Amino acid sequence: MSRSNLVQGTLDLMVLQALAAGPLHGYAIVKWIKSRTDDYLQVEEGALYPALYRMSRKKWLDSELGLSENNRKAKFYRLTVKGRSQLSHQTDAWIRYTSAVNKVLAATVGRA
Amino acid sequence: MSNVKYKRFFQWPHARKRWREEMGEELAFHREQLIRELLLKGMPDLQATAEADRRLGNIDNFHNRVDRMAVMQQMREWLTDLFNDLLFAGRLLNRTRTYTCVALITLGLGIGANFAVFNLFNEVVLQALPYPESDRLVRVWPEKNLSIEMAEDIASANIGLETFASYSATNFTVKQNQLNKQVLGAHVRHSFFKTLGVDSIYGRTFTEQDSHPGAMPVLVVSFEYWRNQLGARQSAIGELLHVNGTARQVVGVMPRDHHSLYPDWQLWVPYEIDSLSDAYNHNLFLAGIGRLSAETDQQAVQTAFRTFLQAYRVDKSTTLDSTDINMARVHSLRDHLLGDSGQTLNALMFAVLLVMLVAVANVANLTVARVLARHREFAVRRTIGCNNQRLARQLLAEQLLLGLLASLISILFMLGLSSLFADQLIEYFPNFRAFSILFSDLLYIAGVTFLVSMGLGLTSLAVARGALALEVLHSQSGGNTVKSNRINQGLLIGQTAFSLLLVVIAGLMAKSFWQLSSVDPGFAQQQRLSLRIHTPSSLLTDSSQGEAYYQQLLTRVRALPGVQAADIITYLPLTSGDIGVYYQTPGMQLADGHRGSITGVRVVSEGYFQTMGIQLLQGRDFKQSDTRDSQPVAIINAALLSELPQQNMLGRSLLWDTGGEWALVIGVVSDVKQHQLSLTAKPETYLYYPQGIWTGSMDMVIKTSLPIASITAAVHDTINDSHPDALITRVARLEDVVADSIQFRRFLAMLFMGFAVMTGLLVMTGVYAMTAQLIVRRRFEMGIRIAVGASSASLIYRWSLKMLKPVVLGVLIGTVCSAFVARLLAHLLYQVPVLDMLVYGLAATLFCVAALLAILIPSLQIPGLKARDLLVGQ
Repeated sequence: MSRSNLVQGTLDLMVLQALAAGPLHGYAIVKWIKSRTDDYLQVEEGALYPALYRMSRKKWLDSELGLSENNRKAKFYRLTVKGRSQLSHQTDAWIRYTSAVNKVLAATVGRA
Repeated sequence: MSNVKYKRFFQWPHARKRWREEMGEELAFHREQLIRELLLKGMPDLQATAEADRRLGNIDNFHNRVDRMAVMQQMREWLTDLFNDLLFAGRLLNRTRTYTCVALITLGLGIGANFAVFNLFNEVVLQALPYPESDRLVRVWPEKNLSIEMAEDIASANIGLETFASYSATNFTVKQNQLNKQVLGAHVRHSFFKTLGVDSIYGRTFTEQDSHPGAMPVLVVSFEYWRNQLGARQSAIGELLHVNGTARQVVGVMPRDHHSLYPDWQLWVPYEIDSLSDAYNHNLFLAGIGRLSAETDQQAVQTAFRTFLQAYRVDKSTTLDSTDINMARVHSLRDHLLGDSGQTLNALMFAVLLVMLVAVANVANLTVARVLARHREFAVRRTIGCNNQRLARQLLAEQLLLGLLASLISILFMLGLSSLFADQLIEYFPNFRAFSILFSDLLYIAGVTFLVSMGLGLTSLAVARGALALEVLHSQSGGNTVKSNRINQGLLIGQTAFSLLLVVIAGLMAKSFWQLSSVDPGFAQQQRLSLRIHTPSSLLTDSSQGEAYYQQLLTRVRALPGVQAADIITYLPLTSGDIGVYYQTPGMQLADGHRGSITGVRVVSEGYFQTMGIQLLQGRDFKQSDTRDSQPVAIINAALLSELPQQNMLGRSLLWDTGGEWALVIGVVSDVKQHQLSLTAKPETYLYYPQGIWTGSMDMVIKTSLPIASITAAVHDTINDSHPDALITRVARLEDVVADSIQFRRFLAMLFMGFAVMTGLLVMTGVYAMTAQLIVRRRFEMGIRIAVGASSASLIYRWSLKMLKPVVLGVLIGTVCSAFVARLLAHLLYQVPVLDMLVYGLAATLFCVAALLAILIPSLQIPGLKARDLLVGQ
């Protein structure tokens, strides 16, 4: 499967979802998204870290220093209450959006 | 924005550094993990590192991107919060409209007065010399006029001046389209523009060749003259203009808004150097200016100039006075041009500063009351989680909004003032042209508004701190009354002191003006018309023609119906213009090369003294039999007589150092205030016009039995008929000429009086409001006192004494301050001592009486207070 760039505006949603299960550092977030999409989506580091910073400023994420699996000091991000609510909100919006797009596509295919 | 956000905003550089470090570490970890993963996949070491670096890219880009994002977000949050705070403040101000209106008007007037005077100060003082490195420009020997010969010697001497120039202001008669117009300008040395450091925008300025006899006559015009009179044509360069009867070629146009020393100068003509006429070369009519060379200072040039004068006296065998030489000065051109204007404006700046302080203190008092009235709101908000900083920010935002609105009102106020007083200001301050709102003015007003808002905001905070305590909910009196009372009283003492200071200064100025207006100028003013006639230039070349012209003109004017007398003089008393010469008497001992003493010289017609009501103390008046061919005669004034060793000068002679024959003194007249009403009369000599010096213009005085307005037109017509080139300016009643000479002092006194009344009213309103507010706050206590037997009269008495205390203290402080400030303004006072007890006593009494009234009026509600009603109310 060829790799694809992220659809505009979906990075926040995926990062929030990645952190829903528990705290992760930046590298782990990239790996999580990559593995969950069967290597289809590749998050660019140049986009990830500014996004993490932005979401931290918005109080969606909290961060603290911890030890990684190979005992290296790393910064772990986790969802705040605000972030959790944001995830729920964005997930609903995404589902509504994609189902609407799907319906449009289905209708188009039927007509053709 | 929470407290944390405030801290974050102000600690931004530090936070940014920490964030960069954290991100650096995070990226390093990411890179390491990536390399490890690639190595595990079997990629060679170097290739794995290169791949990781490629994917992460330039780390600085990360930092910059995050920085930009952080700044934008910070700004957005800050502006949103500010906007919300201002919106909330707007709603609150709208709810308390009375407070808002009073505060806005008070602050608006305070800031507006400040703004107007700053604008004036900026235009007159700061922009006085719009030339490069204007601090290096100096006025050489400001007390004396120079001759052309002396000016040339100074220019060629090495006294530490880079360039030297001299000038003489002149009223030119320019003939254009067969019409004569009077245009102000100056005769200047060719180096004039170079000394000032300005160049023409079209054509050129003057060169040395332009000054030589026989050179093509040239002139330079101002931008305004070129635009308005020459049609803004570049082809005007090279055209001829007829100036004072001579065709002169326009060689240059000066830049827009350039004003060579005086804004109303429009033409500059180079004076002739090395003229064949000795009288022309030696006449003292030039003012000297110079530009200091870079490596010297004013003091060094002054010393060198005095040394030059010593040498000049020996070389030229002149009789320069050694006292004059030792006192010769080189003075800053800016200070010289500003003269009294600078000091007056400083005084005005000080006055408006006081007005603003009183206005701010007044609004602060109102604000204290308002904050106390909101103590329950603050306490409730605090209880439900609002922190102190949030409340502080809200209070500051309210005052900031108030300040912003007040600054808009102040701009309107300033524009209103400009339309009312612009003409007078242009007259009083020669450099002032118009009120205009420049960037510097906006910066000033923004600064003032910010300071005022912050001052008020901090006062609110100080008072609100008491109200933020929870227990305040249980307080009957509301808020921290002891603290707020102290603040109230402190503000009241301050405003009273400032206001009294202004009242005393205004009183001193008013008294000074009153003294001045009752000074006898030494001549009669009623039923007299004066006007200035510019002698047709064609008559100036031959004095006999000029004499015949005026003789015929006087005969015609005297024959007009209602005219009782008509006479001429070179310069009417109390108008600008003067000629001074050195004189000697036979046998006068001139020690140490003394050149003699100076006397003013005025040329008059026979009957002038009678027409002006000037008393002839000794001898006789001029007669028509005193002709140009008969023995020259002179009449001196009492001041000159008192300077002479001989107390009977009749039949004795005087000699002018301009040469010529000895003039026989035929009479002595009483002194006249020629220059200013505030100055003592100076020695004057009057010459008869057929024998006198021609200046090109004459003032005419007409005594009439009819209303002045009814003869003005007839006199105008007669003069216009007398010669096609005759020109009349400055038509005024003699009473107005005298009144105009002290108009500036009147204006200043009125301005100070206006400020004093404004601040006085503010203070009294403050006293009234504070009394009323305290009575409301303590009505319960007073009701109880009345209920247990205290008499209303004793309560009012004690209450009034208590309230009067801060006012009396303010009056005392204000009186002491006034004594110091009045000393600084002594130069603006005429025959009024700095410690004038009458003014000080009146001001203090007036203040105390007004304050007592302001206290008593609201206190009258005390007898109506009933404890039972108040208890029921509680």
